[in-house]
Amino acid sequence: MNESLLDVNSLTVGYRDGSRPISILNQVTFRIRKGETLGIVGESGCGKSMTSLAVMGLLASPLQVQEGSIRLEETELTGLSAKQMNRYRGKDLAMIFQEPMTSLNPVFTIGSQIEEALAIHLPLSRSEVRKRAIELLQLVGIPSPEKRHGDYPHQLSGGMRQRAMIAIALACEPRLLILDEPTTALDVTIQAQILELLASLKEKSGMSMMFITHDLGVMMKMADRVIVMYGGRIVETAPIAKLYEEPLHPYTQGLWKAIPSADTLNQRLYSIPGTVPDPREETPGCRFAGRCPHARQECLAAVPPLVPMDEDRSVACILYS
Amino acid sequence: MPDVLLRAENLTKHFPVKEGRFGKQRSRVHALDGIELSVYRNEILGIVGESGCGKSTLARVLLNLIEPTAGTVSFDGVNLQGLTRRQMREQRREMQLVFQDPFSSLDPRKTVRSLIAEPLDIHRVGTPQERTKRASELMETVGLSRSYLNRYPHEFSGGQRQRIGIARALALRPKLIVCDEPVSALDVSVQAQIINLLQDLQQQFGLTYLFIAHGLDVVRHISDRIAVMYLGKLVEIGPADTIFTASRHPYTCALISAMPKFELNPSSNPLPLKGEIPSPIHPPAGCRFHTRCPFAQERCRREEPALTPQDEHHSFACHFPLPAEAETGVRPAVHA
Repeated sequence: MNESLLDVNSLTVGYRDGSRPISILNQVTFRIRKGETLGIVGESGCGKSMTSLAVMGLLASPLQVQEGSIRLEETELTGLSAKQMNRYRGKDLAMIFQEPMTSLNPVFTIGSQIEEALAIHLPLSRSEVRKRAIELLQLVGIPSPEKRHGDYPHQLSGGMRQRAMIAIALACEPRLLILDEPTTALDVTIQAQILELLASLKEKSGMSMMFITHDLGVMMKMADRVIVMYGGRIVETAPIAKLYEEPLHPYTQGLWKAIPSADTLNQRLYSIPGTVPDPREETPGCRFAGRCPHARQECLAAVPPLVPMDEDRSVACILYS
Repeated sequence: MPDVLLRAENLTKHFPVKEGRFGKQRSRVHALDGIELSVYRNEILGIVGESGCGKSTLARVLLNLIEPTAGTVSFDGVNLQGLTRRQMREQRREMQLVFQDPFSSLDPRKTVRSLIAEPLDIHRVGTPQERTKRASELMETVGLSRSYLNRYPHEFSGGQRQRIGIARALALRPKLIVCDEPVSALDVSVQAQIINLLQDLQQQFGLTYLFIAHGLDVVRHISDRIAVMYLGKLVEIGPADTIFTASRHPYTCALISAMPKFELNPSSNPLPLKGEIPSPIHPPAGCRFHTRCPFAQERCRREEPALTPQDEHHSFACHFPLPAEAETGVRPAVHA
C-alpha cells in the first residue's frame, strides 16, 4: 500500500508568449500510492485538469512540460515520444472525462470502441476480444450487454454512456485510472450509481485512481488523500480525514466555510472575496494573497513553499513556516 | 392565509414530437402535467428535480414565455392566459428571469450599460440620462464598480457576469424573479457570493424568488419552501426543513439521500434508486415514479396518486408514503 505508483516531481506546465515562458502549473509535486485514490480539488482554472492531461501526455500545443518529471513506477513519462507514450496510454494509464457524449465516437458502436482498446494492447483473437467486451459491459452494470454491444452512443442515456466510458477505460486493467469530473454532467441519483460502481470496481481491481472534482461532497466519498490546488500550485495536501477536520491553508478553510450545510441555515454564507487570478499576471508572492484574510506584507514577496507538517500532510502558507 | 403572488392551476405543457419512420407518428413530450402551485409574496420557493423533470419548462410557462397546453397562471390576481400581447408585455415588468449561464445570456457586443439599461429602453422608462444613472445605481446594488459601466461582458469573470444578469433582472423593479440554476456554473467560493447577494436583494426590495437548481444544498440554504418534481409532476411540496428532514415521498427521500454530503465517512446511501428516469414521451402509467420506487405496489402501477395536503404547508403525491415519524430502518439514516 505504501509503494508509489506515480511520482510527479516539480511539474511545471505552460506555454511561451513570444520569448516569455508563461506557467499554468507551477512546481507541482505529489505521488499516488498503489491502490490509493488521490482526490484533486480546486476551482476552475486552478490547474487540476491540466495536471491530469500532463500525466496522460495529452497536453495540446502550445502547452508543454517546461520542467519536472512524471514517473510511473520505473518509467519516466515526460520525455517519451507520442509513439512510446501510446504503449502506456489506454493500457497502464486510462482516463475518463466529464462529458461522455463528446468523448465517445458517435459513428462507432459501444462494443467496437471497447474492442479497439483491447485489440491495440492485448494479444487476443477477435472472438476473445468480443467476449471480453461483453464481460466489461456487464461489469459496469449495463443491462443486456450482448444487445448494447451493438448500440451507438446516441442510443444510450447519459448514465449508460458514462458506464460505457468506464468499460473502455477499464478494458486493459489500467494501473492508474484518471477521472476528470466523471459525474458532473449527471443527475444526482445517477451520480450516486456511478460513484458506487467506481468504488466497487476499485475494490475489486486494486488500481489507483486520480479523482478530479470540484464537488467536495463527491471528494469526501471517493478520496483517500486530497490535493487542494489554487492558481496552478498545490496549496495543501493531506489524508481526507485530517483535511476535513482541520484544513490548514486559508484557501481550504475558505472553501470549507463556503459550502451551504445544515449548520449554515439562516446564516449568511462565508464567501471568499474576489476572484481567481489570471495566470498571465505574474506575481512574485502567494497566488492567494489578494483574497486571503491573513495576508501580510511577506506574502507578496515570495511564493511560500509546500512545507511538510507531519509525515503525510503539507501546506504552502507563511502562517505555518 | 398567506398572500399568494403567483398561482398555477392544472398547468400542463405537452410538446409535440415526431417519431417513427418519416416522422409519421405524432407523440407528445409530457413536460408538465397538472401542476398546482402557489408562490407566496416575499418567499423563496425552491424547485428541485433531475433533468427532464420539467422544472425549466415550469419556469417558462409561469412567466408565460411559452403557452401552456392547458391550465392557467395568475399573477397578482391577473390571469396571464387572458392577456393580449401588449398587456403581457406590461405584465413582464413585474416578472423577470435570471439564467444559468452568464456566458451565453449576455450579448457580447453590448456594453454593461446597454445590457442593464435594455429593459428600461424597451419599456421606455425615463430619459436616456436617467437610464444610465439607473444602470450605474444597479451596478452598485449588485456589488460591481460603477466604473465598469462601459466595459463588455468578456472583461468579467463568471461571478461578475451573473451579477450583471441580476442587475438586468432588477432594472424594472419586478415583484418576482425566477432564477433558473443561477449558481450552477459557478465555483463554490463565488457561488456563496451570489447566494448572499440574492438573499440581500430579496430583503432589500421585498422580492419573491422561484429558485430552480439541482444543487440540493444550495436550495436548502436559500429556500423557505421546496417543491420536488419528477417527470412533469409535482410529487411533494413543503417547508425546506420538512422536505430535508421529514419528507414523505420516496422520491424526495431518495433524491436527498443520493446527494453527496460533505462529511467524513459518509454513510452508504440507504435508499439507492435503480434504473433511470423514463422517457417523458411515454411516461409510466399510474404513479410515474413506480418503475424506480423501492416500495411500489400493484396499486401504484394502475392508479395515479394525487397531490394531497398532509397539513397546511406540506403536500405529497404517494399511495404509500414513508412514515412521518422515524419508525422504519430507512428513515433515521436518510434524515441523519
